[in-house]
Amino acid sequence: MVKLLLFECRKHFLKKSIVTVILLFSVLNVVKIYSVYDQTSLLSKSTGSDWNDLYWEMYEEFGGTITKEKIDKLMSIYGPLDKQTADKTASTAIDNPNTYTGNVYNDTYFFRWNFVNPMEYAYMYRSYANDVVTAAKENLTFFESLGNQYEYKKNAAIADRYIGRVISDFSYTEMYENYIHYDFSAFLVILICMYVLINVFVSEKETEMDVLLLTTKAGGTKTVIAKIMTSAIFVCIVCFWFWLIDFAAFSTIFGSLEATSSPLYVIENFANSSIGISLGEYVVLSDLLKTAGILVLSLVFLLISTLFKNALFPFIISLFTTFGFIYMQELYMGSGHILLKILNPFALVVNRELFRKTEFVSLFGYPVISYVPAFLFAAAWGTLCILSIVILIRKNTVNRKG
Amino acid sequence: MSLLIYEMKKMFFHQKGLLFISLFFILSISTLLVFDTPKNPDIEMNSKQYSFYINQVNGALSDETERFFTNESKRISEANVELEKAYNDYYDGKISEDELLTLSSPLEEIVKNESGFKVIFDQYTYIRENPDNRYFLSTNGWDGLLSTDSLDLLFLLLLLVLVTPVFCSEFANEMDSLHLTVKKGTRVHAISKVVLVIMTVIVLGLFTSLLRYGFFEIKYGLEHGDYPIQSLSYFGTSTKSSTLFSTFIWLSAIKIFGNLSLSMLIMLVSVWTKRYALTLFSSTAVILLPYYGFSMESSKYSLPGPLGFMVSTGFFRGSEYEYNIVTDQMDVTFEEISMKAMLILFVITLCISIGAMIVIIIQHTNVWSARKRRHWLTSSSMMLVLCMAVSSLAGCTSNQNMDDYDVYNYSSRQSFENEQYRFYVDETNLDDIRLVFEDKQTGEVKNLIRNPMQSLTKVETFIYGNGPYVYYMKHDSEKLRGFAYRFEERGKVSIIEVDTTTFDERIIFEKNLNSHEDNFLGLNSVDSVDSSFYSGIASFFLDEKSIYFIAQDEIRQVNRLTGKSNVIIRSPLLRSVAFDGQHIYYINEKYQVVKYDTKTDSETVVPDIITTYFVLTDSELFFLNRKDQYKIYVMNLEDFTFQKITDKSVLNFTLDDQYIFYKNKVDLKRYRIDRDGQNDELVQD
Amino acid sequence: MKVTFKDISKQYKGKYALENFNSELENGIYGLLGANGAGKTTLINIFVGILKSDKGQVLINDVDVRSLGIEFLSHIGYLQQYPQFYKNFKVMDFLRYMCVLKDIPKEQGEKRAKELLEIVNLSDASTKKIGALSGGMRQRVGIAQAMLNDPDILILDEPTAGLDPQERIRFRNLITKFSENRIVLLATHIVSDIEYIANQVILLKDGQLLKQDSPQALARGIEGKVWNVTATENTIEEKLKHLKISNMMRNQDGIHLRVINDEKPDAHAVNIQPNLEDVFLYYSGDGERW
Repeated sequence: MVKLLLFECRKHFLKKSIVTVILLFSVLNVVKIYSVYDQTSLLSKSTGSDWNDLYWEMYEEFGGTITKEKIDKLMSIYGPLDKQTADKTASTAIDNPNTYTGNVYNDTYFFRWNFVNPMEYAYMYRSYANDVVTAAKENLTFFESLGNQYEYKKNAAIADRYIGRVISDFSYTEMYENYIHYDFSAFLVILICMYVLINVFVSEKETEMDVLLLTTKAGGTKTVIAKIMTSAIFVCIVCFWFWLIDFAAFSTIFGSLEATSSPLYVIENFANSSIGISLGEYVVLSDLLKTAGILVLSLVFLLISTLFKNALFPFIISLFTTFGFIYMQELYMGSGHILLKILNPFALVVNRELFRKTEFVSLFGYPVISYVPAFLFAAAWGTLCILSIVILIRKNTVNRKG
Repeated sequence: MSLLIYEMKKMFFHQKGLLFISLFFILSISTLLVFDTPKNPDIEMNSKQYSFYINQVNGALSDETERFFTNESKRISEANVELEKAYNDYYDGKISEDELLTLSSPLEEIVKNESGFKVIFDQYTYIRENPDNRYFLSTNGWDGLLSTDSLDLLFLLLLLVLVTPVFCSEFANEMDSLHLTVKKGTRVHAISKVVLVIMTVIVLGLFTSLLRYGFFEIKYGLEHGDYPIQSLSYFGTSTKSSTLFSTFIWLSAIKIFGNLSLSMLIMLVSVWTKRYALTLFSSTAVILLPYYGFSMESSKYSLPGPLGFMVSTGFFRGSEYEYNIVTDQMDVTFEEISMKAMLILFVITLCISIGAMIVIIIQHTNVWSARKRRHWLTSSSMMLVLCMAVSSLAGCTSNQNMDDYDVYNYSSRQSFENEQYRFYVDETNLDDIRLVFEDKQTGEVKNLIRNPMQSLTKVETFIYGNGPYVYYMKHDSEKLRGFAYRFEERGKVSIIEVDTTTFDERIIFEKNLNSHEDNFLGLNSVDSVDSSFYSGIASFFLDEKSIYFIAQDEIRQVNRLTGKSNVIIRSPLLRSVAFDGQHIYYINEKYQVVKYDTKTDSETVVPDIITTYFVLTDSELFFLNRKDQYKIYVMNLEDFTFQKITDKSVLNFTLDDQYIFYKNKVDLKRYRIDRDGQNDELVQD
Repeated sequence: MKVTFKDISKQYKGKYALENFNSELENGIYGLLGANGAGKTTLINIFVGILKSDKGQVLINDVDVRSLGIEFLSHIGYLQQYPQFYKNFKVMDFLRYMCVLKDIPKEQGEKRAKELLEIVNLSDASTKKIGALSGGMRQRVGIAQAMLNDPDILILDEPTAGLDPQERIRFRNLITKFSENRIVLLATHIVSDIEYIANQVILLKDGQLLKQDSPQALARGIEGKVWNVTATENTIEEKLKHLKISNMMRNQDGIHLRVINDEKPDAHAVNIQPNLEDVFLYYSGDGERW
């Protein structure tokens, strides 16, 4: 079997054109990541304010464990600034020597967006989490009195997840925030997979090897399984390669790995996150799930390609299907229709949507946190595709024999 | 010629081209029919009123129209005041019915089209900024036709499926070598294929343009094609001078050019690689990667290659800016493409296409008939295409029953009562206004919203209830740093049904407000006009099919399933509205109570009631009788008999199962009276 | 009609696929014989203009083909190796299409196509789709299309590959039929295809012309070099190692070997009449040493 795998690998994946495409796309990916930095980072030059150096200087002072002293100190700087600029009558001079950036307004914005707001959020999170736990616990008695077991269990789970949540450190989170909201690499990977995988079965038909394969001992189901397995390995390798590039590029371009050990909910968009793991761990989890999602999509491509004799229709149909998945995913992005959201295997690719909020799905009256069934649904889709491929390939060849 | 016919036969029949073309047109038409929404829905929802005004001010803004707006705006507000006064006078007995009629009919004529005036006034504020090239016109048709910068993905797929096999099928059938050995199998054959593709793309392009033109002409109308494009806000800041119609012609031509250059590229790659997969993949990548990869919209237009031309509208747009609250500055979100840049791009793309054609022909030349091959030509054209490819890539069911439907009253939009609970808005702490409920048995007060995680959710302070179900409305938002700061409001509005027996929640309506930047590709678009509507809602109620949103001066019916909305009721001030599950009761500008049937979409005036405030119950209508000094009356809805409840003038009142609570108009004190008018007593607050 | 090849050379990655090939062809059937990779298809591809030679000229009636340009193509009819054609075209449609490509006036083409279908015995199949034809039938469609323009030169690249003996004989007869007043260049590595029909055989080896002569003359050339040797189970191994053997047959009195050798390989060896296969083996290098 191992040999069969190696041969399949050589047949379909070790091609110059594929390697070239992967390399070219990798470069594109880095360029795109740079443009993300350039356009969204508060520290990039294109914000029009050169805050980078000042930020890290101040970060030395305010970064790390949040203490009352730090807060007081920060407020002693920001408070007066805020007052000064509140009525918009402060001096607009840009060479004011008594300021950090040369301008009072710029100082205000600098501290507001980089330190005051994020630190306020971080500091206040403990009390927010406490509120959630209190509310959830209150719900426990409430739903118990109503006999609503589902809601009872749900709230128990929420209380359990939120208890003790606290953001003790103030850290630079821009890099992780952008990293976990970044999708372009996944799009590149999907395109590569589409291109490479539609050839896996089609090329056998083009070279009329499918008939020959059937006459060999390992040519039937075994070859099909070998093909599926090598495809899966290929998809995983490409995925990990791109996720690696993503991470390397983000950490290099943003110039920081701060916040790796901070909890996921330091990202404001993840304030209601269902999981309390660290950002570093989340990156790994997210990458694994993204890979799983693309794997399912790849199986769909493989399934489509088994139905045709050349690459034209599989490619067009795969492209159309992918757009369909993406459209549905986007339609239910942020939606409360959780089931419709997680039925789509693409939910694993944009998996922040599964972890951003604490959402539950009722499974036989038992509340299950949304990412579990999302994963199960994707697995079911994948299995369905594999089974269909195995069945279809056999049928085709049996017919051909006759 | 007959070679062309054979190639046509191959493309349209053997390769099922006709089937795909028909499929494309069917899909295109259905997408237009299903997904097209007017850019400015207010125009469509107030079309009659709007057309009254647009017909008067059509065209450029002149001193006369400017005066018209000042006068009309004054006239309408005055007419409203006068009309109100006239009715008040009449109901106070100061004037007779005839006098009222003579007074009111001209005034009514004036205010009849007020909603249309609001829409046109918005346009006026836009046009006023630059009256030289912004004209008045009904914009939805032209906006639908021109103001979109989305790539026609279906057309892209059609091109791929039509053009790729043109050469690839010859390689797949191993006919390429045979062709090279027959007289017309060489260049003539290649040229005839290229010509066929060019003709097909042009015809398809023309048909698509015509189809869209026809669709928007029929749906909204495309009048005044000779007005400048700046009349559409999408092109508002453009410095190019062009009329709407000529822009349409230009855009169609540019699109055709873009599609042609893509076809050339597809053919070039197919001749080169001789393989379907690689051809399809590289052609798709060249278009989709820059399309989705560039964060700034205008970047895709500054690339040589087919993409910019395929999308095309950006060439006519002006620079656009958006406010960035981080830096308190305006950020460029779209940079105008100058005429010169456009020409350069055009020339480069044209050269690439011609280069592609030359390469295709060279590849189809019999050695013996070839003039001395110019290697530099082949290699340079290949280089050119390669460069282009690289540069293009570098961018990187509801359970209520009518019979026992709980009556909704606008006045009690903040409260609802069923057998077990009383739901209301707790405003004791203004920093923390909450929806709460009181257990009628125990008197315990608890939060209605049980979701412990509220940090990114804002709940509206009105509810609607029916039987065991209570509904509330909430906004969910996302918080992203960086680019997100440019957008103030993002997220979703949803209406949640709470089953108060179990307090299980269910979403019954959901709508995206403002597009998420945080999208994978951004295939769904959202109307901004809709967003502003949803943020200005005063209350809502619903039946099994629709949700009715009450705004300042209109009621909109929104289909629960499709989300399609239309204005069903318009009245200057909607502050007394009731719904019994089928009929909506409201007060019109004449202080009459109108009954709107949601099943038949028909209206009837409830006879003999003149009021400013009413409350509906299952069988009766309590109201402040305008004709009798605002005393509370009740009308039986079955036999239309009246009964006076109070002898005092009342400011407003509420009722429960037993009593009526009212505020005396004179002493402004609260009183309680039985529903049959007995036992009037002062309530101590 | 006379075709002259002058110093034709073609290299692939530094290795000669064809080296200074010189030959002259006049009306008649020419069998282009050579092992796989000897340069047959390269020569044909250069001749029909699919491939550009690095060097050399092709002359028709002493006129450089290059000066004829596209007109040259009206002189030739070509059938490639393993033709697929368009599977979804009907036979007659395909021929009509080829008429258009060959610039044959419509009526004339129609008439000619019908005639040819008659000759290749495919009249009944004229409305069948090419995809539904058997290999032999498809090959006959192939030769019919090559003959459409009544070419002076008919070039067939391994036309009998994959055909059954009956189809092969039928095809051979067709070629003979079509060879009247024209040059037929037939590339093959199956000797029997040309043994009885070729006027001349061109022997190619490693891109070089070895011999060009009639089959009979070629056979005569190796007269006295073909032997019948009888071997026993004990001696066979030895003989297989050292001799060039074109055939081996086992019967009751031992194993009979057909040996090609310049000298008498064995005291009991009997000289026999050589055939074209022997010639092919004799010249195509090391031959079959087992």
